[in-house]
Amino acid sequence: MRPAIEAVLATGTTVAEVAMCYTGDLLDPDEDLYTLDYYLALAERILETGAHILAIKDMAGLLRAGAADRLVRALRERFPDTPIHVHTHDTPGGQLATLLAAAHAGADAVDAASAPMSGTTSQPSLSALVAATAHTELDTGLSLRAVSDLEPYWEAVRAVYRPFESGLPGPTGRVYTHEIPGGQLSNLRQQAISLGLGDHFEKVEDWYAAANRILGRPTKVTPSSKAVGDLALQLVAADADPADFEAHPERYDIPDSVIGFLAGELGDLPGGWPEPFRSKVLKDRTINIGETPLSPEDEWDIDAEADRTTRRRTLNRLLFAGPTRQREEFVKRYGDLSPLSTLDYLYGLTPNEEASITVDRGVQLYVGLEAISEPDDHGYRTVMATLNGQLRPVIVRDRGVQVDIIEAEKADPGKPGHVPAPFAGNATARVSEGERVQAGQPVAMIEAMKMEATITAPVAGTVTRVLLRGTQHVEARDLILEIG
Amino acid sequence: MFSKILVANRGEIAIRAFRAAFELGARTVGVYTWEDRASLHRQKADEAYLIGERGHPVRAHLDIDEIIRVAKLSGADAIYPGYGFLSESPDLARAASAAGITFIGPTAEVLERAGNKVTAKEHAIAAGVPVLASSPATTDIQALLDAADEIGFPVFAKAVAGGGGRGMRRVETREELRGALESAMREAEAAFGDGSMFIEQAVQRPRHIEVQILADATGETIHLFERDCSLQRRHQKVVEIAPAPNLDPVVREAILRDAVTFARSIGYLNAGTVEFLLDTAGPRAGRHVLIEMNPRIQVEHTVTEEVTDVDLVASQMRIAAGETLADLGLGQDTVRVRGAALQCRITTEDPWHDFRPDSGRITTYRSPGGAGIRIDGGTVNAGVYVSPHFDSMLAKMTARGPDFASAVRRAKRGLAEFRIRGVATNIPFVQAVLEDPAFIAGDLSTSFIEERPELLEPRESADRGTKVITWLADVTVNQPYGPHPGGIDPVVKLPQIDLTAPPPAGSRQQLLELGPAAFAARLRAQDGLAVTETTFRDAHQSLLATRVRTRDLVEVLPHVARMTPTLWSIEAWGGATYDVTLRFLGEDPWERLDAIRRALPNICIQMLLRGRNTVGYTPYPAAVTEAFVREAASSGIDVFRIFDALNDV
Repeated sequence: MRPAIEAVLATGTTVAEVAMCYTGDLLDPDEDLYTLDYYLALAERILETGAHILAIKDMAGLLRAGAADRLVRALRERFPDTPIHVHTHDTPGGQLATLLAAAHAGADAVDAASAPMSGTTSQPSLSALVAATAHTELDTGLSLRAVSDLEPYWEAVRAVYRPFESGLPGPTGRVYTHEIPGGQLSNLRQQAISLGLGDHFEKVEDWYAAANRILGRPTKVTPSSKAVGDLALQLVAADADPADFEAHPERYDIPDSVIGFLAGELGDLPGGWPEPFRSKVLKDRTINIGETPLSPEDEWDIDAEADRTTRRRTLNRLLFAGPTRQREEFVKRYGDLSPLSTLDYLYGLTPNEEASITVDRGVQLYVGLEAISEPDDHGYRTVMATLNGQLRPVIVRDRGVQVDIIEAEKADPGKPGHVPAPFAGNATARVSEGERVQAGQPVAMIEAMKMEATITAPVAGTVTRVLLRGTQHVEARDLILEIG
Repeated sequence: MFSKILVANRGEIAIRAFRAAFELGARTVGVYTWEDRASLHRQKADEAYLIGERGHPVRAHLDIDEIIRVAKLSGADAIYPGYGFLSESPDLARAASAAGITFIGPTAEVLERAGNKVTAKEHAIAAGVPVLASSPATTDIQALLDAADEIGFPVFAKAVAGGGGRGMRRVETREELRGALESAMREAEAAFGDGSMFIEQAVQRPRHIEVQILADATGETIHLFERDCSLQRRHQKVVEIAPAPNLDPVVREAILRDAVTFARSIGYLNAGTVEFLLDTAGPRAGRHVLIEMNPRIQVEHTVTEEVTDVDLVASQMRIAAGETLADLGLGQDTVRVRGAALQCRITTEDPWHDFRPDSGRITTYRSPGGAGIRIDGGTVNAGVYVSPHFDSMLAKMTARGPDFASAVRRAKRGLAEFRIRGVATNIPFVQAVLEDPAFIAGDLSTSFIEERPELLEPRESADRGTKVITWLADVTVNQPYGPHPGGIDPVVKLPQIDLTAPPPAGSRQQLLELGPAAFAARLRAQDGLAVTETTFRDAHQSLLATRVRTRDLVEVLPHVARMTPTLWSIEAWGGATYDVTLRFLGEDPWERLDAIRRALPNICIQMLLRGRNTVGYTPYPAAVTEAFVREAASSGIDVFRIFDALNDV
């Protein structure tokens, strides 16, 4: 964490709140790893970095009220001047008690969410917190009226996003056993459903608990929780026996995230590595752990001297290359969709209801739906929409319609030997399969409208495929021949 | 005047001819191919007849027998050829006259003299009009290679029978010449049935100046001044101007005089255009050479019509019908230029894809109008399918004004008024040309565009409507999140409060005032419990897969700022929000942060930062962490909650 903490401290203007991740139960006499001493020593190390605030980050809702009281009291005694901020998830259902216990013990700040967006895998309810502390020495200073007046908004927001609900119907005490973090619990349920295990989620939970033990009881938060979850799902899918897997991991497929975790990609494990399991997994594997290197151009582009747009774009690419590309494609195609209401954005148009979209100051679009045609042979439907009162047909591929027509093979821009048709027209090959060609050599002709163009070989090599039969009509970007 | 004129053409020029014929009181006959059955020119003719066979629309328009058959069938007494296709065909002129039908244009003999570049040149030399150094025409590639060596590079390889850029290549070096000749010969052979080529000296940074000629059967020959057609991309004209701006009056006079001299020397009849190149660089700068004469109407005749008030197409018809220039009220002394005009060719060439002609259905078409704007269009309106069979030109927009600068302003206005959706157009490119200071200054040459590659860079057209509607239509059909659930936009649930009042000072102002250390000390010292509101990150991450959009987060913030100003912070940013905004929402995470900061000026914004890898999933060099934190801090993050998955400090 040190480079991040130092970077924050270096800003001089922002607060470095450093968290210790909480797991286990420090009141349990059998707990020998995540004990009070463990957390106190950890806090000591954290505060040596110069952190402004100490946070207790309880990802799964495992911090019980009694443990919170003990932990905060001990921290308060050892570090009387350090503010303490407590974060928990309400997965088991009673975590308001934890927040209150922590506050009474001397915590200075806690996390809560607007009531309609609270509970279960989320944080405890803000209204409940405000009400519980009102007119006491812990009074939050927030108006109960004000926080509850904002609730209808969030309730309506949550309804709009219903398809993304995690499906956790209520609190669960099983979290004390499996220790799955709040965010991951909803993800795992979705993954279990897609594996056909939706009705047997308790099996996934049991395996998660087993995987957690086999991997040495790490603190579980992205990305360590991912390693545990990936292993659990893999073993459930293989219907494996935990004891056999632990004894003979070499007989199983093991997810990359687990191998990386055991190789130390995420750092060292607080309780030491599980042996001999770890050595068996890593045997005969070479794992390179290294930072993603930074090119000099990128280093220049993220410098404080670079312009903000370049800096942000470069950071996006460095941190999330794939999603950044996806977003660029998306914007090119659909533009900025932020002016759309979320109902329109997620569910589209309905007849008899005109969507009104403010795209700019004083620029309004009115979009309506007149009709949707039956799909054609290629699975395309014509959506007859209106834009500002004018009919506007939009052709849409209905991905639910199966079609038998084979589309012409398109040239892959990533393959230098793929020769595409530059535009729609009638193309004729000038070379045949097996022929050797030089880069720049004419390999085909194409004629369309007023133009005739020579298509040349982009690379030298042997013609491995010619997709033209005589003179043939081609669409732009169709693959016409391939050079190997 | 003729009683019935067949127009052996299609698209905008056919419609242009029908308009002239109508004004002269003649009935009109159109020809159309199967592929053109929905075209407007078919419907604008009084009668129209199908020609050719399906799948070969261009061949049909080149079939003289077909044209004569329809002319006889319809009882037409004249044939108007337009430009392209058979417009320069002596064979059509001969076939028409053999059938007792008037060909509206020069005689077959004049067409031959003008159309054959080699004989045309001999006439020019004889008349004392300057010409380019060139070789004899042949199909012998070796002879052409030798000739090019003698003339010196750069050279043009040109088809004897070519036109409109077909069968023509500019070649810079000897190495490229053979390939260029082969391809041009094939093209000419296919288009004109004659593959003969010749080599010609290439002029340096030339302007293309052409002179409009009208001549009657009495031998009276006048010019209607010049046009500048220098703005070309790959030998295709883009913008044409009359009169040529920024042209030395002495040079202008010489060019106009040489044009008339040449037309007279070949006994020219009817309307035609004499083309010149004017060197603007090198030792010959300011000198012009004749390149060819086009014995037909030109695409860009409109600009001459706009500045001279002479209807050129009607003039062609009346001269063909036997009238003299005097009958038309035209004499060299009476033709005057008034103001300036320029024509922009609106095509489906796609600047995003190397100007590849686009095809597809036009979903929206709105053309400009108002003072000084003239539109000559073919079949362009919403619902029309633009086929790949013919020319990529959709419409010609001609703008007129009292001077060149005002004509350009009008043209820009006209281009801005165009709305064409469904097919790509070259409008953004033409707009860039018209914005160029050198264009406005009249510093023109045929290499204008190639000297400015930035003009060819694709420009982002806002076109917000099309983009939004594309998304909405896709979601409507595919329902990726199930059917529309009904319900209401959450904003109606926001409490009614006074949003004009500035929000009270809060934790953010404290932090700015105290600095982070004293701010933390104050938190420690304060009575009561401080609260971080997590709805903006962790709550929707834990309940709704982080999918809540920026819009829904930001709408409520002005209320949060005013109703709960004593919040210690809101948690609003982190790894999953960063990932999901990019991956699933088409949003930029930084823009989200900017919007949150703008809407919430008084409460600290908090983010979750993974120590080893900031918001990403793999470890990065410290420089990335530093840059990320700096950028986040300067974009509005006040509190960084830093953690490590394994508590590794």
